[in-house]
Amino acid sequence: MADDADGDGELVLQPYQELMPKVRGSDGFIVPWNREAIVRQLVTETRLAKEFFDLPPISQQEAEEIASDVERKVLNLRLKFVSGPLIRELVNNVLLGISKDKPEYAVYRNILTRVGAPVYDAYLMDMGQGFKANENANLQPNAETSHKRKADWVSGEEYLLLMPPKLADAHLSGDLHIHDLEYFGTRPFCQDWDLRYFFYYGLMPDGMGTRTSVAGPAKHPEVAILHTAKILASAQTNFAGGEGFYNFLVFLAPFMRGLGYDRIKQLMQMMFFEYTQAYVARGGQLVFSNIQVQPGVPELWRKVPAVMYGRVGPELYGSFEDEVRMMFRALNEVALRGDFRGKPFNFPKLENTISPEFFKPEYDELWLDVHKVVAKFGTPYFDNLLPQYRGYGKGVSCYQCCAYCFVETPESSPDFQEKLNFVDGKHFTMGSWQVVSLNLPRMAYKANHNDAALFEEARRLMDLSVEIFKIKRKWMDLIRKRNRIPFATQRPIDPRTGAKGQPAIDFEGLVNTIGLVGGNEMAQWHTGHQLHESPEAVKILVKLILEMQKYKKELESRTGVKLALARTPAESTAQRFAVADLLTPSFHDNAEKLAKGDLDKAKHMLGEGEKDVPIYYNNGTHVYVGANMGLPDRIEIEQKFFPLLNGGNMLHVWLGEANPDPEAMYKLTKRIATQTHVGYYAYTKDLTICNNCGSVSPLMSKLCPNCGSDNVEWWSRVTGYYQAVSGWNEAKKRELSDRFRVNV
Amino acid sequence: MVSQDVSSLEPSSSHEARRIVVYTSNGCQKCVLLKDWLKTAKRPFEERSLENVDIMTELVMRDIVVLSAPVLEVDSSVYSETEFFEGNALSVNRLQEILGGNGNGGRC
Repeated sequence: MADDADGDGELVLQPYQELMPKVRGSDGFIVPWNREAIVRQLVTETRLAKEFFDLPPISQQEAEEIASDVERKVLNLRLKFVSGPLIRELVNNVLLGISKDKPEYAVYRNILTRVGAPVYDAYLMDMGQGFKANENANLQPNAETSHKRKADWVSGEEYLLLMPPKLADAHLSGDLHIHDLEYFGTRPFCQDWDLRYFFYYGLMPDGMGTRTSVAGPAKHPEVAILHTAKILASAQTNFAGGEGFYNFLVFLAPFMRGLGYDRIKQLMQMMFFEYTQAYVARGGQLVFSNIQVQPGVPELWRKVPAVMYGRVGPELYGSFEDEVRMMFRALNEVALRGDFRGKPFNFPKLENTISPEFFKPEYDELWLDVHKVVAKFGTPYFDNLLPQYRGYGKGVSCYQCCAYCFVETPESSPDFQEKLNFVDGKHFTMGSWQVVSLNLPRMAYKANHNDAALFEEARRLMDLSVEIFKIKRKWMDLIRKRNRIPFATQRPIDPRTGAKGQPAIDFEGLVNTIGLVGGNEMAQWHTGHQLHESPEAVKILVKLILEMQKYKKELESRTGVKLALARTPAESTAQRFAVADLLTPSFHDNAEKLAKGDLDKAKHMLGEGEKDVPIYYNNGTHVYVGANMGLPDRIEIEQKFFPLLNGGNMLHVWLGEANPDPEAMYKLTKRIATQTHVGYYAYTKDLTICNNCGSVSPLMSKLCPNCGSDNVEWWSRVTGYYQAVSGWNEAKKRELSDRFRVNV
Repeated sequence: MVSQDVSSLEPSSSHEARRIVVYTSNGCQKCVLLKDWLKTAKRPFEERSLENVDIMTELVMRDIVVLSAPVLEVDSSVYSETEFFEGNALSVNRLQEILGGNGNGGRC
C-alpha cells in the first residue's frame, strides 16, 4: 500500500492495517479491518438461499471477489472507522450491481441486508407514536409495547425478505395482506384449547417442565380457575392470535360440585380479573381470550366421562348440569356488575352458544341474564348453532379469536370418538396456521366490470395465498424441529402410566384461512351499486364467493393445504387496502370514488407522510356500516354469506339506545337465531368512561354525564372485541362515527 | 347433465302440472334414484346442476342453503333430501306427499 502521507510528493508504503479503518461491529466491539470476515459472511449467510429459495449459496471464489471489491470501496472512503452496517450496505451495493446480470444475486442481497428501524422511528416507537402505533387497539400504552413494536419491525422485514419477492410484493402493494406478519416465522395463528388436557396432565407453562415449575392436575376449584388463566398466558407465547377454551363451563363444572352459589360467583369473578389484569402478554398486552359458554351440558357431552384430578370418569359430564347452570348464572351476574369501577370486562369474550337443547323455556331466565349484560354493556357474543348448515350435534365447533370458526366432526377426524371420550389423552384442538386476506375492491378495479376477469383474479390471489401458506408451514416445521413452541408441542408425563402423553396440539388439524375484505366496494365498482342499494350487487358478491369456494376445493385437492374462507376482522387491513389503492397510481381514481371515510383529510395526511388515515373499505361481506337501513333489511343481505364462509363471519348490530330493554334484546336474539342464517353476532353498545369520577355511562358523550368532566374515554367494539377508542386507528375511529345505529 | 324442458312434457293430471326441479351434483347416487323414480312416474322435471355457480347463486339469493344433493323444488317450495329419503332409500310415500302438494312448503 502506498500513500503521500506527509504531502511532500514522496510515496511512502504503509502497512495495510494502518490504511484500513477500524470496524465498529454490531456485537459491541471495535476490531481491525478483516476482509476475510466479509468472505465468511457471504458464504455463511447465503446458505439461507438454499433453505428458502432452493438456490446454491455464493461460492468461496465469488465471495472473495466481492470482498475485494468492497475493500477497495472502503479504502477510497479514507475513514478512520467504519461501522458493520455500512460495510454490509457496501456489500449489498455490490450484490445489487451484479444482480443486473445474475438475478439470483438479488436474492443474496435480500438475505444479506439488514432489518430494523431508523433511529428516528425507533425514538417514535419509544414515545408510543409512529410505526403502527394504533394498528391493534388491544396493544397498550406501556414500555413493553415500545419493545414489541421494534421487534415487530425487524421480524416483519425478515419474513418478507425470506419470501419469494412476488409474494412479498403482493403483500406490500396491497393485493393481499399477510396477517400478523411479525409472527409469521415463529408461531401459528390462533388456538382453542381443550381444558380436559390440563385437568388430566397438569400444567407446565414452559411446555418442558425444566424452566418453570410443574403443577399437577388441579384438585381445587381456585387452582383450576388459575390454571385456565395461566394456560392462556402460556399459549400466547406460542401463538400469534387469540386463545380460547371451548366448553369452558362444562369442563370446569366438576370442580364446582358441592359449592354454593356465592362461592361459584366468587370464582367467576376471580376468572374475569385474572384474565383482564394479566397485563403481561407479549408487548404488555392483555391475552386476547375467549370462552365458549352454554347454560347447560350439551347433549353430545352428557354421557362422556368427566376429566378431573388427573383421571377420566367415572362421573359423566351430564351429572353436572346444575353446576353448569349455576356457573352460567354467576358468570353473567359478575359480567353485569363489571369491574370495581363498573366498567365492562372486555375479556374473555363470552361466546354464548345457542343450540337446540338450550333454546327452551326452562333456560329463559338464564338467557335473560345474558341479555341484561347485552343491554348494559353489549359485550357478549352469540354463536348460533340453530341453522342446519352449522351441523350441530355432529361434532364440536367454536367461534374464537375475533370471529374465526373451527369445526371438528367424525368425518374430519377419524378418532373423533376417542377424542370425545379422552381415550389415551386424545382431545380436541381447533385453530389456524395463518390468515391471508384478499383486497376485493382491487380485484374489481383490475377486472373492469368483467365477471370472468374478476374470478380469474380471485383465483390468482388464492394461488398466491397457498404459496404463502406453504412457506408458513415450512417455517413452522423448522420451528417445531427446534422446539421453539414448546407449550404447543408439549407431551407431559401421563400421571397414571408414567408414559409420554399426547401432544397438546394436533398441528395437522389446523387450517389456513383466506379472508375477504371490501366485498361491498368490490360490488360497488363492479355493478355501480353498494350491497344495500341493489340485489345485483349482492349477487355478484355471492357469485364471487361461490367461485372461490369451488376453487378452494380444487386447490385443497391439488395441494393438500387445508383452507377456509372467512370474513377476517381486518382491524387495520380494511384501512391498509384503501390506503394502498389510493397510493397506487393505477387504482388511485377508483379508490377515490369508493373508499369510505374522510377522503380529503386522508389525502392531506398521506401528503404529510402519515399512513394511519381515516379511510377504509367495509369489512368482509358487510353492508356499508353507514347504510341507512333497518336491521331486518341488513340481516336479509348479510345472512346470505354465513353459509358460504366456513371459516367465520359476523353480524354486528350497532345499538343506538342508551338503555335497551333486556327482554326486547332477548326477543331479538331469538328472532335472529331461529329465523335467519346468521351464525355469529353481537350487539355493540357505545360507552363513555370518565377518567375523573370513574363512572360508566351509555352512549358516547364529550362530557361525563355524571360529573361534567371532559376527561372521558369512549369504549366500543372495534371489530371483534371491546377496547378504548383512543387506541383505535384513524380509519376505525372514522368508521365508529359512520356506523348507522338501530333501536330495538 | 340431463335436462328436460318442463313445458315440453304433457302433464297427465292437475298435480303433475306442478313445476318440478331436481338439483343434482356429480356422483350423487340419491340424485339418480330420485330422477329414475320421477321418470318412471312420468313426472316431468328440470334438472339443474349444483356444480353450476350461476344456479347456486340463484339459490343463495333465495336464501336456500344446500347441504346435500339432491334438492327437490316443487313450484316454489324447496325440499332437502332428508325430507324424502330415509337413509339411502327413497321414501315414496313422502315424495308422493310432496308432489301432491302436501309437503308443508319445506325449505332447505
